[in-house]
Amino acid sequence: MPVEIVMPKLGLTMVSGTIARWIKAPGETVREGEPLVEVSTDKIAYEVESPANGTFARSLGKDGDEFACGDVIGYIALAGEAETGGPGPATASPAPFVEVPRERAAANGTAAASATANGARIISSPAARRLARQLGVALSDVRGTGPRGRITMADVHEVRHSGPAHIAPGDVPAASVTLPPRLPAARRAIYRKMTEVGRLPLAQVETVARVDAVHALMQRRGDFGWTAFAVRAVARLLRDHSDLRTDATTGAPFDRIDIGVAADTPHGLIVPVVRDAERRSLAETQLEIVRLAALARDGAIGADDVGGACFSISNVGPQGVERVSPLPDPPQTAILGIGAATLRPAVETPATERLGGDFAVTSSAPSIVAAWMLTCVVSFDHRFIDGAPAARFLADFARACADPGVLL
Amino acid sequence: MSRTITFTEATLEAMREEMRRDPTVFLMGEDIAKQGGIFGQFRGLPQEFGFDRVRDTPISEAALVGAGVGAALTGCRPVVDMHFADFITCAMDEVVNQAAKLRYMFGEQCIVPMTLRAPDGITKSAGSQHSQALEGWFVHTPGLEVVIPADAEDAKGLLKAAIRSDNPTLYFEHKMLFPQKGPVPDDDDFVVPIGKAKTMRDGEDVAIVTYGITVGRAIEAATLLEAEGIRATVINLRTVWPLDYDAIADAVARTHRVVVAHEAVRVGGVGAEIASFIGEHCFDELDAPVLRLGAAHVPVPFAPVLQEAMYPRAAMIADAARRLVRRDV
Repeated sequence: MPVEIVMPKLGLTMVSGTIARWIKAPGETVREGEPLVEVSTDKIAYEVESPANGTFARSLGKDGDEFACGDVIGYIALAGEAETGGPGPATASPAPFVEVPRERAAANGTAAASATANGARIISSPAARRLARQLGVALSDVRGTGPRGRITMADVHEVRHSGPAHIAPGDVPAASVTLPPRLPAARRAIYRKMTEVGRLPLAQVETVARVDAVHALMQRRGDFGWTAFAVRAVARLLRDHSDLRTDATTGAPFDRIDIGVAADTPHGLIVPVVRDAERRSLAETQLEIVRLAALARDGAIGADDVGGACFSISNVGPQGVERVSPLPDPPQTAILGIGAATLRPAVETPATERLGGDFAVTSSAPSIVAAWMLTCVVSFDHRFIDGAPAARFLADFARACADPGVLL
Repeated sequence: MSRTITFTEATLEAMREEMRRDPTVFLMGEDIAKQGGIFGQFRGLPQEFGFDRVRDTPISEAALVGAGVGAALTGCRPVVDMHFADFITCAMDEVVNQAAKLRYMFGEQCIVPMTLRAPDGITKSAGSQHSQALEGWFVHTPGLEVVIPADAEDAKGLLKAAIRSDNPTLYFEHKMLFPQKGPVPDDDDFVVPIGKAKTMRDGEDVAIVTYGITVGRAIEAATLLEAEGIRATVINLRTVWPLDYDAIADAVARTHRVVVAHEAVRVGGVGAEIASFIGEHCFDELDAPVLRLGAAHVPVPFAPVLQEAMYPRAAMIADAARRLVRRDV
């Protein structure tokens, strides 16, 4: 009997994957463990190895086709079996890694799945779910207009009449974006995601922070960099600034302070996540970032190290650029961008405590000094976050830069 | 054919017709015979039926209801007036432990065909002890039937049904309804069946499930909503035990959005039973959560402004319906 090739489940939140590229062509001989097909999600690319020795008999999908985790995507014919093998209709079998989520299992065989492409639960009224089943409409194609994005009967009717619209906030619609035909597979996920992000009402606040103290500390200790510092500071601040870690799929804050760190790799942009960042010291944060960056660079990062962040940081300092205006990564609703810390002219007004000492500044006029400065931008989804809380968060970040002692 | 008469006149017609029809029907209560009842709801009855069948009693609700239970056990169909529904607390043992239980405990060897008339509800600053809607307690007590008229037609038809019922039946008549006029069928055998709801208005956008005085408020709300293009069904339950679950389920299936409203306290009220029934049995029909309106969980205030703020009026019912239809909840 032919052996099934199954869309793997690479993490708890993964519901479906896309065939990025078949490495083997039908008819080719494959050995167990040999790379067979490259699949991608909105977060990572992954090579699926052949489950058996034999002949790659049949693929059930071409490049760019999306399958639910656990779905059969092709067959390996064993020695002596017909090479067109495989039963007629695809039958689902459990994914090799983790269990199929309950909602998905319940919806199996029906048109109405109740999880989005990134695994978040779709909120829908019971009557809307029944209507979607009756009409053969997939809930993931419906944009909910009720509270918390709940899909109501009217929303299902709307899709029936106007075709799939966009979906719950913060989600990436796999079906509704037409990909340019020659787009490399590695860019497909980001293409979809950024198409989606482009529709969000984004706003920004920006400030230039004095970072002499952090710079001095960095020189003295030598065990952390700017990204680690930003992760550490942001993790501390997000505990209180819960608005800035709103989950677009629920409208409520994410519970865990997991911070995404944008990484430039030969495979494109990858955003590994520093888990439980608020529990890590500055030095531990640095070590974790180094570990993740190495994995990302080598294309070896696993599903557990991406996705699920509550907030992200993009640092273009290593490129020597002073300012970046990043885009949030849904369902996150805010991101911090920092540039290179550089010596810049700063206007300094004499501090009062200096006036009484032996080195009293006699002139009370402001003076221009060379100072280490860092341009910081927070971009946020204005549906969930207002300018004032974003500004307060950024001001607190700037204060932490001026006085990093509180973080240590 | 029908005539337009007051709620009070409708109850008087019901009493007169049933007392003429059945010589075992008689009436007991405080200040009902000589005075004619504090709302005039018994006026003229002793003149027609004599002071034996329309009896003034001492001020003891326990004695009054106890006598009613005894008379019912021995073959009469007593109608006992509680003066104010609030005073029923003085006869709880007679109602809950005697009237409700005897038919069951004696294996149907006896029945208690007694009607308790209980004027209830919020009026103009009657205060905490004269304003309550207590039907929930009796819905929660197996062995009783509970009917609550919403208008003159219900007043007549439900009172006649209560008197003819072989079970102890509480008839909660809202004090503010007595002077209200409405059509009543020209049929001296007109009876509103116990356990059957009536659809007062039909609309597919939202259903307002209610009873008693709140039916009128719901109809008023439906009129407000109609001007905004929202079509509301209004279900008048008429009987709150046994509940017409079929009518409720039909209304949910037609509209998928439901407001349950009553003047009784919202917490633990009949509306809670209705809302949970819908949750359990009509889950797939729901397009939005069931909204429940009822009085605030406070003693009814004396201050007119506070009193008016504490129970669901037409504007509040319309607002709840509007929120459901606009998908705000």
